[in-house]
Amino acid sequence: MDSTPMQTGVTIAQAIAGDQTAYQQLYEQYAAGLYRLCYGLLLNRQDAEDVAQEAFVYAFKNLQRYDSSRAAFKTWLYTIAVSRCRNLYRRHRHPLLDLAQIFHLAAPCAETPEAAMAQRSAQDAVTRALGTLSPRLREALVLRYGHGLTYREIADMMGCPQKTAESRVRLAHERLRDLLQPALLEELYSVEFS
Amino acid sequence: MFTCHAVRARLTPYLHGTLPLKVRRRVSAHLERCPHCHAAYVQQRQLMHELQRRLPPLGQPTQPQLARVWDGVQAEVRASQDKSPAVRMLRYRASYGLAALGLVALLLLPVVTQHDSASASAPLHTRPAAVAFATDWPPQPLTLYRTAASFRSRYGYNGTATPQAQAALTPAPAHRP
Repeated sequence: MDSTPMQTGVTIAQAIAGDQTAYQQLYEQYAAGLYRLCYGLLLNRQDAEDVAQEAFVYAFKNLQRYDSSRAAFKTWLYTIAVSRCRNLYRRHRHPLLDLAQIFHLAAPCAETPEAAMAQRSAQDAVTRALGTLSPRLREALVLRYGHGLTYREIADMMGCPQKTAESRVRLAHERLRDLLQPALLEELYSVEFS
Repeated sequence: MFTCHAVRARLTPYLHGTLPLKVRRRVSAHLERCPHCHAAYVQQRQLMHELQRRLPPLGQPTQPQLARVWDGVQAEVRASQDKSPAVRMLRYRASYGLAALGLVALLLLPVVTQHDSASASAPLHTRPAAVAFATDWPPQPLTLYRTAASFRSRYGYNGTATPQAQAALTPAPAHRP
């Protein structure tokens, strides 16, 4: 559950004062979202764990430098993670698709094995399509649809103007439409309405 | 009037509801008239719903994964706290302080041991004045007074030996049987 900015501010102040439980509280609040973001950008479980850890360590070490008047703590934390992810895929060049993770995704609402298989297949298709996007487009898409952020927040995290964030989401959308159309979308919808 | 190209370029912001009202109305008017653009709009909308549905659960972490990351975070933060400038400065100060203390102790050691040996030796008044003077450096006022008194008792104020002192110093004549 998201706490209010004031509650987060109090927790941050306690952490700066040396309260270890405050650090844990901040971690528990943001860890799952941050890990999902890292996984969405890197598409690799091990890399996502490493980057999430790096981002938290950096944030906790520099907690006194966080300015609540400039951005929400979540925005600041996600900006650190996006920057770390960029460093990593600059080194890797190509995203490493973690097939083990993809094939073990849970299949919600799947009552039959066939439906579960179809769900997984649909999820894999989206993940593979995501992997073919350029890092900037992937970032925009994951932040917009994976985390439901506004264009303003996306622009802050990506370090670009809001219009650029909007056009990146649009371009990513168009690229995915070309990749997934028409056969795959039909498959996705056959899963949805079966 | 918007062209098909202009409408296709605005489909995503149209779906996200970020277009200005005036532009939005013009896109809507075009979509009602153009079946091709309407088909593209429907596809785009399907894709958007699909992404909204598929992306949030992507990479959902398990509890052991989060616990592993937390362990790593804690270990790194603790290690960095040990290496923090304040702690490092405190350690430097402590080590330099100890070294300085050791040096001072080393310098004082001969003086202390010498003084102990001198005070442990024979009482002051039984020692010759020169020995007392050499071992009791720097001379204490009491030592100087005693040395001067001893000199006076033997040689008087002008440096010549008193008759008693001369008698004491002159060896007794040998008795002949």
